[in-house]
Amino acid sequence: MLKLGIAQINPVLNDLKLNKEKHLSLLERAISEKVNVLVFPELSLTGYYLLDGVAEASLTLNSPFLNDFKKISKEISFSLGMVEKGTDFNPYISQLFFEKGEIKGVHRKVYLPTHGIFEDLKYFARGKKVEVIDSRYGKIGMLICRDFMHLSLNLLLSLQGMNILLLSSAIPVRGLDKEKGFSVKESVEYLLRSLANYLNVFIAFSSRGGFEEGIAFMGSSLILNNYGFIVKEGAFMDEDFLTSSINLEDIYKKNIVFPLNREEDLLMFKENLGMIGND
Amino acid sequence: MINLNGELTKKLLLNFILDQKEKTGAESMVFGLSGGLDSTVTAYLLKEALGNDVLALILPYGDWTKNDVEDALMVAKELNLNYEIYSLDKLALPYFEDMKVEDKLRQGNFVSRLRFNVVFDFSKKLKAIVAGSSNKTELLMGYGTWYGDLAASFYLLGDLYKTQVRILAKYLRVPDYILSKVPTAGLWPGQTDEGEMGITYEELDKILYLLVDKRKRVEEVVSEGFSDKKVRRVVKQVFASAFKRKIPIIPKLSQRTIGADFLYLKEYWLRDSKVE
Repeated sequence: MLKLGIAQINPVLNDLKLNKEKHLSLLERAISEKVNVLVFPELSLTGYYLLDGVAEASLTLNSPFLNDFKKISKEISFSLGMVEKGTDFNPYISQLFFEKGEIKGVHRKVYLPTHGIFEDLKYFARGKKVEVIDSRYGKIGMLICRDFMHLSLNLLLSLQGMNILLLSSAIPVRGLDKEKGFSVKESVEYLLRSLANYLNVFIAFSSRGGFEEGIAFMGSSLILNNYGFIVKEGAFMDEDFLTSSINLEDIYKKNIVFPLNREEDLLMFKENLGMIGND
Repeated sequence: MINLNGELTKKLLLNFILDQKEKTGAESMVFGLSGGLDSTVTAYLLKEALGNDVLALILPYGDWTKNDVEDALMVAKELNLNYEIYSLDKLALPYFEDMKVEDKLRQGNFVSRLRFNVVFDFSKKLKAIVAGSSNKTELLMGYGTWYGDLAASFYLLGDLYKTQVRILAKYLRVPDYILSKVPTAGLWPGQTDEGEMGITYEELDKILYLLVDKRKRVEEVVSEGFSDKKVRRVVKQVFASAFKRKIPIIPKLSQRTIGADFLYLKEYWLRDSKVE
């Protein structure tokens, strides 16, 4: 058994010190509640709409500012979001996975929405790699917000044997409806339930709450089991903290009775992929 | 279809009010209470979010808005709101006389701007921010006085069409004597929004919803049963009033111009602490 946790926070825009304190206190809480893996939302250290403040808020991966996180990661594994100043001197929206005193993996947001109220690609460079992390708690994949709406990236992680998918988001609440509430919430739930079920993975979806200049962020974080059932749901728009125990053995049990993963024909997939776009 | 989820809308707006108070560091909020639907809904939400940290300003002029003032007072009493009442006559009348202002629209705009002079003066006095009550229909149509009632720190109802404000009002249990009133900007006696705009809110909101929220072209809206002339008039008005929704134009001269490529949220703040 292992315990997943989600820190559904409302980061203060560009106040890295204050956000760091908030992270550390929630990490302490998670440790006291025997959480093994805690997930923070997208850009949890900096806030989302940095715009011209991107450079000001960016950190290199070897920044001493991150030392406290390395230290506490001896007791708990976790992912947090920040602006990474890459060694190629480009800014990235990155999710860092800390474990056993080091940064064990980094995912740079691949798909940067730039339409309507989104301006990611105007300010950030695109990530180019999607890799699972060999964690002490199994194979972990990380995706950031828009990334997980692209089935291709989920598939890439699944084909690498992912067991747990950690998703980090800052999702603006839009499209108010009398019957369905906020439509984005429903569509995210549909997607994640399908992903968890058909990829046979556990999902911890950490979605920030609060506001930035009148844009409300959804909150409503989720923990889903590998059958696609929601086992924990966070508060709508507000901050929250949720945990749930999972058993990776359930993945094995499901593979025995519903063997989608071992049916997957990687070679055939690669061959077909190679042919697409060639004509 | 235009509809509204009362519960979620209320939650979002209450959270927003508290967020604005915290982020601006304001000690309270002030707003103009006219006795109309929009400012009454604003009053209900501000009161629930802020309790005593809100002040309603009832600022009548002449006898244009006599019934409204009575309604505003009833709302203030019903909600146990802190309020001030002050007649703008002493400020407006001498000017109208000296400058021979007889045009009712000029008078209406002048009074609206005076009203917000008072509102902003109170905001300074109380270290408060100003909550605006303009709704999405008005903002899109430019139906408000520039630097008058449009002057505010935020438009609490700015993403709700008038039809939706009405639904929200019912959800909030706003009394019938407010709900049943004919909407008026109070620019002159007997003035009504629908009379002045030449279209009912019900029809206007449907057209705007299709054009704006559903991104339909004029021809598509017309094909849903609206008159071509009406739809085109609405579109024309929306674009003609764009100046009221944006900061004034600045001719670009420097390397970096305000409003063009000097881009920060209002809540962005350069923190004192260096992190590295």
